Amino acid sequence: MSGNNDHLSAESARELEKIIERDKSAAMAEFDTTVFAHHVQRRITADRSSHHPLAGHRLRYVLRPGALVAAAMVAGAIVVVALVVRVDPSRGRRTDPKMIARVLAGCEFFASIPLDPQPGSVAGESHRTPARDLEWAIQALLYRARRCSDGVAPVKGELARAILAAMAGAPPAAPAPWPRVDPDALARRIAILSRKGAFLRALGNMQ
Amino acid sequence: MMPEQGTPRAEAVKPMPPSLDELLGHSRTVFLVCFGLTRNRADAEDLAQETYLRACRQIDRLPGGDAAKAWLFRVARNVCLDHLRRRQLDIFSYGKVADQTLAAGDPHEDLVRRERNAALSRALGRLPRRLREVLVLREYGELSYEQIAQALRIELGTVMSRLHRARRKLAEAVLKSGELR
Repeated sequence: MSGNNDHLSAESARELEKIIERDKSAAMAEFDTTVFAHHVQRRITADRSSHHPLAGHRLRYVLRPGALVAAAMVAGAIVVVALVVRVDPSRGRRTDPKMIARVLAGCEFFASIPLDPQPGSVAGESHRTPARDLEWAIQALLYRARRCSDGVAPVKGELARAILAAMAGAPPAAPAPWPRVDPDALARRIAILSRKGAFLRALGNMQ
Repeated sequence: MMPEQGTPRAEAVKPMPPSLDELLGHSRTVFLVCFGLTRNRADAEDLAQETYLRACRQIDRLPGGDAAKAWLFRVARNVCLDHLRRRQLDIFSYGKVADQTLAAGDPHEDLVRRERNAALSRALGRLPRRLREVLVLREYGELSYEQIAQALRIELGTVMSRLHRARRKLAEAVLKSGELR
């Protein structure tokens, strides 16, 4: 027996060595390394075939992480889209100029306005330029059109009020005071512009 | 330019993982370690096969050279401990395990051999687990001190001191009682 036997007598060490060697010899009496190697090879072959990536419990380790990641990504994308839509319902809904035209055409308020402008009807509003008026009118219509497309019917007075509020200088979505301008004159201008196609073109440029 | 043999860079190259045939070259001692830890021949052979099965699953990640042998015996030791835990056996409860070695032709010799086996089992069973592991790896697995240190992940000095204490205690148990003489 090899090793450090400082505190064992040589005779005791030899005896111990003999005992262990006898034990090992008895255990090895039936052990055949060739047969053992054959058994090992057979078990390894069976193990490999049962651990094919597409079969058995191995599938859990091969596909599970990928499936979990994919499911998480899909769920995350759905949540993000839902949040974006929830935060801004108008996002992703492209405002169609034709929709604006339909709103205008369906509005009795505009339909009742005479085509011929009355000279001087918008006089006294020097602080407003036609370009600025038109810009605010377009934004107001866009806002109203979006609301209409959300299921709110285009009510004549409501639409006119929004347009006039915009013309008065307030942003369309913000609460605005009733304008100090002549509503008929401003509405007439918008109506004329819309019938001549200028309004539609302006809307198209804003898309 | 390739590093020349013997240079530090050449020595730092990681050795190739062992082949299954190389590992099977240790089958005899792996079996003996399993037998030494379980004291049951049938279980030992099955656990030795299980050891190779586990080793083969990770053979590409195995260290090469001498470390492979130490790793293999670490696997064998863990397989045996798992087996004994599953069976809820106290490791080295040898006296309770049936002797399954072949009967000798002479009934007297067979009786003596069985008594020796049981006595050695009892003596080993009295050793603390840490001492038993070191003793079995050394005497049955025929590992060097360095390999035992690697297999059990302990210091070399710890291996030596544990082995010394294990031998002393085993000798006291089996020789002074006169059971195995």
